[in-house]
Amino acid sequence: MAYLPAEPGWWGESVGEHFHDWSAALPLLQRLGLAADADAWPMQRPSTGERLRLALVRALLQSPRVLLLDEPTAALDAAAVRAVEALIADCLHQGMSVLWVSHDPAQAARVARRQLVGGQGRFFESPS
Amino acid sequence: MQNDIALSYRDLACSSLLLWANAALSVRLSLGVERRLLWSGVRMVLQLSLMGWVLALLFAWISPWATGLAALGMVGFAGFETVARQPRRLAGWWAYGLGTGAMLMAAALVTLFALLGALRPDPWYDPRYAIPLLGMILGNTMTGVGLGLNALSNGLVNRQAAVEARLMLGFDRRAALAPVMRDALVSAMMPIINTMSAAGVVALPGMMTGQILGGVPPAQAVKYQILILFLIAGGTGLGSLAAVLGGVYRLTDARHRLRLDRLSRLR
Repeated sequence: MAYLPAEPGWWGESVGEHFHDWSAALPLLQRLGLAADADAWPMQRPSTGERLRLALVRALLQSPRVLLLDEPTAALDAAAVRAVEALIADCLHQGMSVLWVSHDPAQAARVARRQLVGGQGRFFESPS
Repeated sequence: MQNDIALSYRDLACSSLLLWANAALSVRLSLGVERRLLWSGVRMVLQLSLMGWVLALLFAWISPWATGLAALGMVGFAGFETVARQPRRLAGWWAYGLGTGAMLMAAALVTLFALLGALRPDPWYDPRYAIPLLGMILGNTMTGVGLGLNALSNGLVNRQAAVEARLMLGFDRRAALAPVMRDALVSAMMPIINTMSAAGVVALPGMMTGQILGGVPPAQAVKYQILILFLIAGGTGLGSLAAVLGGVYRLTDARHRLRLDRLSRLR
């Protein structure tokens, strides 16, 4: 199980310290439009959107069976949003379970197999 | 002993002038430490006088029960002192229990190890050896435990986001807290590492100085001091490891969550 919060935390001073094996991370990073030499960046350098994508790759490398996502595309531009959605779709095909919190009904319709809509302290199943 | 110079109360009053001078400087420069400085000086004099009296009694009795009771009392006070110096404490009785338990375990083990192994006084609980030994081990273990617990709680509060990021990725609590735990243990051990590194070159440790002033040949005083430093290092390491591990256990739960709500903050 891994959880990607809206504001991921970092324990090292450089990007690379958060990855056990940078070369294993490279294909995923490039798929999400991140630089291959980003491991040498100090942690202050990546933007909010870049941090979100780095944290997503960091979580995926733990190969969790269940992935919890809290607005993983909130700070991303349209191209990056599509890349993240496609990557998560592939993970779903490989058998991962994903719980994705989104405020965008259109995105929910694109990515979800099941949708739960929250309101008034309850969740309702929504036909998708 | 042979050629010791007996101190009079006037000599002591005279040397306390240094403390008064420091307090006066603190007032003059508005450093604000004068009250704590004088109060700790007063405590030191009262507590040591009391201890001198207790030791005289214990030496006359040579009873295992009386010695054990005095030792337990010392551990109890050490626990109280550790808690008093923590700005962030564990909530509830853990604050007192964890540090005291760790010190009791470490100091008892190391003192017994020395009494039954290296020193072998007859009887083994002879208070003339047991109590001063315990005092030296306990004093240093107390510093280590206090520093370790302080560094642990401060580290977890300041690096909460980093620790939780690792927990979110599925690390278990031991792995997620390992860097903070390591730093806490390093700061717990730093004083004794410094003491051992500087011993003999920079500082003549107090116990050895005391023995030499009392007329013991330097070579023998040195041997005692080496023994004591090993014991102190062992006690500090054991005690702070137990306290920090206990703190990690208490500040996380079986579901591998960080439980900073179990820390209480004073003021």
